Amino acid sequence: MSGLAAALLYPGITAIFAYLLVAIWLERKLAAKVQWRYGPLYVSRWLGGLLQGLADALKLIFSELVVPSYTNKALFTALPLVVFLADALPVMFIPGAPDLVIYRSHYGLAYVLVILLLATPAIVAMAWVEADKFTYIGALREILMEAAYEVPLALSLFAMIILYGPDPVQAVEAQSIPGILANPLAFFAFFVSAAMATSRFPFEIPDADTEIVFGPYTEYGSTLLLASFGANYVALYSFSLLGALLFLGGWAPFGGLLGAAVMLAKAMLLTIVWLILRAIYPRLRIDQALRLGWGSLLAISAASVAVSVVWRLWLG
Amino acid sequence: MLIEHIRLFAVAVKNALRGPITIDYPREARDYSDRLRGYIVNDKERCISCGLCEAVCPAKAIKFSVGPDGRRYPGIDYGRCIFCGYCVDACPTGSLRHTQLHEVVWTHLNTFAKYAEGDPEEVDGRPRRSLL
Repeated sequence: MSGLAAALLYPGITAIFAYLLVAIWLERKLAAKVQWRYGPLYVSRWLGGLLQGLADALKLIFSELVVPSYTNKALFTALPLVVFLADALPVMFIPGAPDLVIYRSHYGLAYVLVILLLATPAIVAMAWVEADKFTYIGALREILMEAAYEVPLALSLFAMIILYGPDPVQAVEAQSIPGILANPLAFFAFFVSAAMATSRFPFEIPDADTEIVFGPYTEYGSTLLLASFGANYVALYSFSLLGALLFLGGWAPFGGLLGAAVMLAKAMLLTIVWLILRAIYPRLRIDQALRLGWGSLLAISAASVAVSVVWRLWLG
Repeated sequence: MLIEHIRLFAVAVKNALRGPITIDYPREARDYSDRLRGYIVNDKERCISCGLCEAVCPAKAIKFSVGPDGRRYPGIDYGRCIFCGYCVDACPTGSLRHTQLHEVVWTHLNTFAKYAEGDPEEVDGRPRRSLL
């Protein structure tokens, strides 16, 4: 019963779509505030323009879907949904509150990591099927970026698994102090590699719209654009829930509904920091991002594992 | 190195708290100075139908036409007008003058070229905000 509630409400489908709406609005609004503008305001003025995303989605849904003649039509239409699914699936194993988890698994964190890393092959497949020079460049950049962030991401999560074990529910109970204080290096590596994984701003390299149109999403329009590009924000949702769970103490110190609200608030706090990066950083070149990923970020994440091992040995 | 990144975030937060410098456009209007050369209106009481404005207009935007009282009044074709203000300067009685308006919509092509039918409302209730 609670599994069904988790799937349909929070952290499942309803929360995902609500998060999509809020995150896209928040990103536009935050960037606007930093740049001395108003941001979206016209649709639903009483909500500060929150429903602008809904209006944009409606407009996109009713626009014509163009399927290029030279592509495999079945794959072309299916792969955006696969990308969306791959980015949404980690939520299955992340509890939103003590008993509010879609599928309770003792190895949940390992599953989450694997599924998060699977999203990139899906994006690359999508770009391949689109068969366009911009999507090829985008796919190549996506692969290079994944190569740069996946090891630090895996190591930073591994560091937390060393501390708390692979069970996401127990990870919260095991946090006497929040993970961000126990292992700040792991949080830093997680934060940066998650920004790389969801192409947040300094690493918005695969879909750099000033350079390669829209990268892997170039040929898509209408509903498929919503699914493929919205997947980015769904991945951000997964990452922010994961970050709130492992580093900010999850639903602690509360339980039940209040705990769910606290967890969501922590996830939104992380999200805000990820989103405001858009207004702060310029886009890195691909080689700069790769050097960062293979250089200092890798070193930091390796050090975070060492920190966790020391904690573990010290605490027993 | 880390200090630089913190400074970046600090600048972003500072800017976010400053508030927008753009205006909430259709609801607010930018406050330009009183000397703005906006749309030109003609006070028919003071107009003596001398034709100096028509003569001086470099864009040939002004044409005279007969009004309901039988006198002739200037009408400005805003498709041609370059808002140079020569007609306002040339007007001997000061009946032609600039308004603050710079955004006017007419629903029909013929209205704005006639002498007075196209006179826009001078006051709108929008709050005005200056640039800085």
